[in-house]
Amino acid sequence: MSTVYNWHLGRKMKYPYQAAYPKRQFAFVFNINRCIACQTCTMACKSTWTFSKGQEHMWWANVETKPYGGYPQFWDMKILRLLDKANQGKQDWSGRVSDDPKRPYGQFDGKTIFEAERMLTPSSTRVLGYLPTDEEWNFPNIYEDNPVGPPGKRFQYHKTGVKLPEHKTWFFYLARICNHCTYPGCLAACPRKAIYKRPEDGIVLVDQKRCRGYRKCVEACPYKKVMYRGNTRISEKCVACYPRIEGKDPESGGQPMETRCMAACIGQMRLQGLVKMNGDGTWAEDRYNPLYYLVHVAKVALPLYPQFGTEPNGYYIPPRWVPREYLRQMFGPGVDEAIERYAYPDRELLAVLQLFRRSHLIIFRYEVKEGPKIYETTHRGRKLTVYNDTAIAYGQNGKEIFRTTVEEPIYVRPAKHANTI
Amino acid sequence: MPYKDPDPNDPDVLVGVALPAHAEAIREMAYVFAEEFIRLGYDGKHLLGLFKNPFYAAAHGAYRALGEEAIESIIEECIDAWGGVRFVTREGGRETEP
Ligand code: SF4
Ligand code: SF4
Repeated sequence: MSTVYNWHLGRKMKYPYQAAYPKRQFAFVFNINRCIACQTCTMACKSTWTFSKGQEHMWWANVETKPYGGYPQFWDMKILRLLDKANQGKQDWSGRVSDDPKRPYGQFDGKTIFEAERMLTPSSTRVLGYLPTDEEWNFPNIYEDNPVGPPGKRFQYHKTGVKLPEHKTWFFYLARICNHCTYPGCLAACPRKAIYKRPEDGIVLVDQKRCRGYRKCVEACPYKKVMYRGNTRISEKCVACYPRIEGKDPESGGQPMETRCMAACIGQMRLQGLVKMNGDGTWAEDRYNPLYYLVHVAKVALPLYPQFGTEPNGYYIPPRWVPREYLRQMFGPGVDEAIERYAYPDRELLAVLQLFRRSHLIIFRYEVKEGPKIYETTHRGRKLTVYNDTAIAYGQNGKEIFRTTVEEPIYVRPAKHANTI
Repeated sequence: MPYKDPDPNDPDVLVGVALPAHAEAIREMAYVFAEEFIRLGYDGKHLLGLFKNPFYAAAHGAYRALGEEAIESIIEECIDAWGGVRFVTREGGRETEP
């Protein structure tokens, strides 16, 4: 075992290999507040990569209803439970959320999937995990939002009309792909060294020629984003649409382009890019890269289950309406600050939020040109000032991709307020 | 279809189980949808249509729980705050659809 530094955890961590970091890292921010579970992303991925025989159960990109569902079913509850068993009642954070890029969320004092020694049996096991059953893989979204028949009568719809099972309380939609982790659990577990992380962009791939289908990666990935294909007896996973990232898509004009799931997003909740890395695995300061800004400056985007220890490169703007304890378990200690900032966005954050889904090309830098104040109002007890600022996005070649600006008000006053100001 | 019916005794199966939520969670959810969609360019009429449509389970749940009047007032409040702007994108000098 080696020791590596995990900045999500704010501490050193055990990992089976020595640290090696890419020049740039594939990363993304998903804004949960905007996802409507239309599943367009899911189908964009399916129709590009997993439409063949033997891949029927594979959804490299999926969207699940939390807290009710998961793909594979119960994946996060199962791994959280295993970790808790390994380190009962001690999976806690200490310290404070801060501006220190080496420990922005304080420190995680519990055990990661690489550190749960007591539970790692046989001794050749390197990562704590479990193999989902076929049934857990085979029915994505089952019993999440979809109609079921009356109890006890399977394969039947309600005779009196389909009735949706209703959640009588909060829920939200969690969109997921492989996190192309900095310390991948899948890579750590593979006895054949068939999984590798590309030095140019940090994308994690399974070498289809080396893989022998032992499924150690399927067992080890805490996010369950490696899948086994029965008819080839080889494991497969999200490839981050690497030809697009490399600018090889004919549409891209040679410039890096976002993945299919990002480009297809109806809710305009996805932004993906390539962040610059320091030699020590932290993100190099790149103040006007939108991902750097959202994660390290505005701090509205947080990693998914950072306590697993893989340093995932997917970040989420947490849903504002969900009980904080649930969110803290899922996104770590930064939740309260993230929601506060997102709910009352400042001028720059509002401009950066406009960069989501305006182009398929990857944004490497943005600029905000300040314009005049348009109006001032109060919203939910807070002062809100809106400016006519212009957000400009630049690509890898330094050329402008697009600019968004604010147009004059198009406010249509409701008839009943026609004579009020 | 799955091989077996959901087992109500299985703690992982949460369908139909009420989870504790602070009383304001549903109102907050309604505010978030209203704000996000108005910023995306929806007007009040279309937004109310979304809340009324059972297909959008979350928004519709809030509509049913809080009632039409409350939703209308949330929408109006959010239009007052965010409805005054329209974000326009220009790619290579051309205006594109948001
Ligand atoms: S999310 Fe899973 S499959 Fe993807 S890199 Fe991380 S450990 Fe590997
Ligand atoms: S396309 Fe976007 S809005 Fe639709 S389900 Fe996927 S992430 Fe959510």
